[in-house]
Amino acid sequence: MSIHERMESIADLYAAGGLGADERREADEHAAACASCAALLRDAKAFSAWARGAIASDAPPADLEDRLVTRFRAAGQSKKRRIPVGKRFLKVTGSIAAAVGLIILGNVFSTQYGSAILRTLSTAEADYRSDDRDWTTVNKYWSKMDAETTRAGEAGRPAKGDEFAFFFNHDLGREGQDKARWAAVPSTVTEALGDERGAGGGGGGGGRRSSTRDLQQQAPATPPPAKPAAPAPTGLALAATPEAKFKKVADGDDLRRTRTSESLDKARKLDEAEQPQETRKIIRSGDVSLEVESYEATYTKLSELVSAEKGQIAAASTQKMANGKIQATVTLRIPPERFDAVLAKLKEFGSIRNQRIGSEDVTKAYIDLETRLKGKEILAERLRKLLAEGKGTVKELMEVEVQLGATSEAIEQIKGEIKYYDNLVGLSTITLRISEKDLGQPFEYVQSLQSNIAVTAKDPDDAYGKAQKEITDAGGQVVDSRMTRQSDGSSIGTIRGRVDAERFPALRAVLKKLGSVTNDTVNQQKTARGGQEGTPKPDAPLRKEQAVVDFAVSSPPIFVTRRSQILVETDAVDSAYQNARRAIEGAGGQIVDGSLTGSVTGKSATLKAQIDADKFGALVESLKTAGKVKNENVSQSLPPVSPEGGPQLLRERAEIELALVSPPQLIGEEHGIVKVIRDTFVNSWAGFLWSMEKLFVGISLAGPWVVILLGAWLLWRRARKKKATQPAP
Amino acid sequence: MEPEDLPLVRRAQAGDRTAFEELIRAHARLVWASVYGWVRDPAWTEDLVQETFLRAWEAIRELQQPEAFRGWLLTIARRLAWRQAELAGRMDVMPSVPDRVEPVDAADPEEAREEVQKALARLPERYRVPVTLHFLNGLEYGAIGKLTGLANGSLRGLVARGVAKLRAELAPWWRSRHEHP
Repeated sequence: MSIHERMESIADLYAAGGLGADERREADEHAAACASCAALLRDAKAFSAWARGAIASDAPPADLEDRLVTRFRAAGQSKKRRIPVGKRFLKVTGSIAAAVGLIILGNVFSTQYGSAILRTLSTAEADYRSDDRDWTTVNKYWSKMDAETTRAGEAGRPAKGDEFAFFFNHDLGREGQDKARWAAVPSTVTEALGDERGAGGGGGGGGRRSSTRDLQQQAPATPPPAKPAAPAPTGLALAATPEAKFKKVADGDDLRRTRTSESLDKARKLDEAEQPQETRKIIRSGDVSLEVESYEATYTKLSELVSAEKGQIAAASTQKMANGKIQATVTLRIPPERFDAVLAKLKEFGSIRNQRIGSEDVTKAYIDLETRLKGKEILAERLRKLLAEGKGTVKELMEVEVQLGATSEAIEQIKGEIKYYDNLVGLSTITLRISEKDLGQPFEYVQSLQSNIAVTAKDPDDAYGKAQKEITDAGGQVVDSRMTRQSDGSSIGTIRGRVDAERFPALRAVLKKLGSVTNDTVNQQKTARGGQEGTPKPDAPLRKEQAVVDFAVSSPPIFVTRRSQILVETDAVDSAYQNARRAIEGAGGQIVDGSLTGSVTGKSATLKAQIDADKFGALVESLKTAGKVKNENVSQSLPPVSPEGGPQLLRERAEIELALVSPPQLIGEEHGIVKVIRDTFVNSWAGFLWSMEKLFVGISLAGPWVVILLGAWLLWRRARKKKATQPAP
Repeated sequence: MEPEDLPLVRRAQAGDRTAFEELIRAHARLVWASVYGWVRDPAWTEDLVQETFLRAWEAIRELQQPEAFRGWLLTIARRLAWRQAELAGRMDVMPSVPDRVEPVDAADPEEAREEVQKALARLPERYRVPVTLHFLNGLEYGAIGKLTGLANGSLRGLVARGVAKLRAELAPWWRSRHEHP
């Protein structure tokens, strides 16, 4: 190793300060003398310094050890060692603790106190909102109390004030912290809240209850409602003052909780006897289909009727049909009390084809709305009062204001819904579908004609040209025409023409004379337009469309009347085959099929040809000269009779099937030593091939396993070696 | 592993915290150098080193061969670092050396730092740890040898080859920066 190479190898170590004192001195001395090596060392030094500088900011802090130890101590104090009993113990104890906790919790809720909370939580809102039966029961209960002054379920009931407090406090749990805060404000506010709770949630009950009583005192018993669970009557006469309601709420709640089945039954009986009908909110509507002579006249009469009955025509739309008849939809709004009268009068306008009268009882929804409105209004008022007093923190006041906004919005919405119902209830709706008589009558009939005529002709081209001329001569036009020629010399022409219906019969007769008719069909169709078939109109005009004629002309079909099968034996099959082809083509015949095959036993050929019947005999004779005729077979068949009885137009053909074979070769049996040797080799070769095949199969089956096992063994050996050579520290 | 560590390890296994503190002091920089190569972030590295020692303390009773303490410690560190690096998607430095080094116009210390970090991270661990100890911890060869348990001769070889590899890799980049400051 030259000194330069050595310098190169130690340059980095030099720069990194890894050289011993002697080595360093030696390097320095050499660098002083050798410029290139000096540059090398400089470069290494510069790089070393640069790299060190580049990542100097990443250097660990000088007090790394102290910091680690400090944190280790801190971790030891805060974390301690992990609990020695292990995670499983924790899991088990944790599960047991959770189970015990759940049981205790369940016990708490299953006590009477707890169940009251639960029930309040889950049913309070639903009860107040829409549980009809509850309402009815509550109402009835009150009625009953007034009537009999019996206090069912009074025993064990807390004083009214306590009861309210009890209920309200639980209600707090549901309503959340807003109200909890409110509970702390003076009693007037609490009262307001109680009202709100009663009004928004339960106030409906209060209102309804008291009003029921009012009504009951005023109105005598009325017929029972249709449904037992019908909504409670009332609502319209919400007369009770909020204070009065407030008291009832408490009672009602208590009642719901303590009522017995006995009181329920009694209440139901009472309920069935008192249903003031005047107070019900019913939306009536009718759907009537009317058939009249004239729409215009009907409309005039209709508007007179409507204005006489203080109603109005809300909408009308008309549609004029193709046959001049009018169909219209008219919407009438009629005061409910005149609804039936108007319906009866409509019968005079024409015949009623269909009628549907419906009524929808919206009493409950309506009362609900009114109750909610009342509750919200009271709440809004209290909120305003709170706001005016200005007590409480800014945050609380802000919340009051937000709630006031939401309440006002709700009030507007409820008012809108009430207005909507008022409108529907105030005026009943009749939807009239008016149609003039014979609306479904067609205004005309259309007759269409389509015919297919097919003929065969000896000269299809001529017939094709003539047919076109006939169609144009008849004043029609050729819409589509085409002529196709087949490989067997036949041709087919098709023409589609249109001609006036009056001239169609003549044209049809002419076309049929162009050849032998094979098909002649005429399809005639009459369709009604602008109406249904079921309502025929005798005087509707009949319009005849142009007739469509589909004419087809084709060459007569080929029919084989004679057939000859000849088997000829010849030494020269090849040349005999070629000669036969030439002979057939020379005679004007057509070769349908032909094949020439050679095999060990000799050659053979077959030929199938068709030729006009008159040239048949001569051709057969010439073909026979090719060799020794071994077999000959001639058959004849009669042409079929045409459907019309006469002889059918046909192209008569004869068919020849020629088979050429070489004479059979006779091969003698082989004997002797050569055959034995050959057989032996053949057998041996077959055996060799068989064994090779088995060998390959074996390798391909066992190969993958060999590879896998080898690999596993190598891995195992390597692992063992590694273990053995691991340095013992 | 230095012979004086063995009794410390045994005492730590018996639950002696002060003995383990001694072990922390003795191995802190080695573990640091090892982890740094994987995660390339000093703060992160320190956290992982801390974590490594905490885990080691929790598990030291289970250590079967007290003589293998250093290797065991480094294994814990490596696992933690790998998991961290994988989670943070920083393993990208691992696979291969880039074919081409992009020349840089301006000298950006942040970029230089990153380049050196990456090149360092790409070194095989046996070169990287000594080079890191030397470059970043400024340790003398004797100290490095004591930390890594390597004889002076092989340590010098490793450092020399490590720096040479580093230089070979960074040279184009470094030159482009140096010649166009």
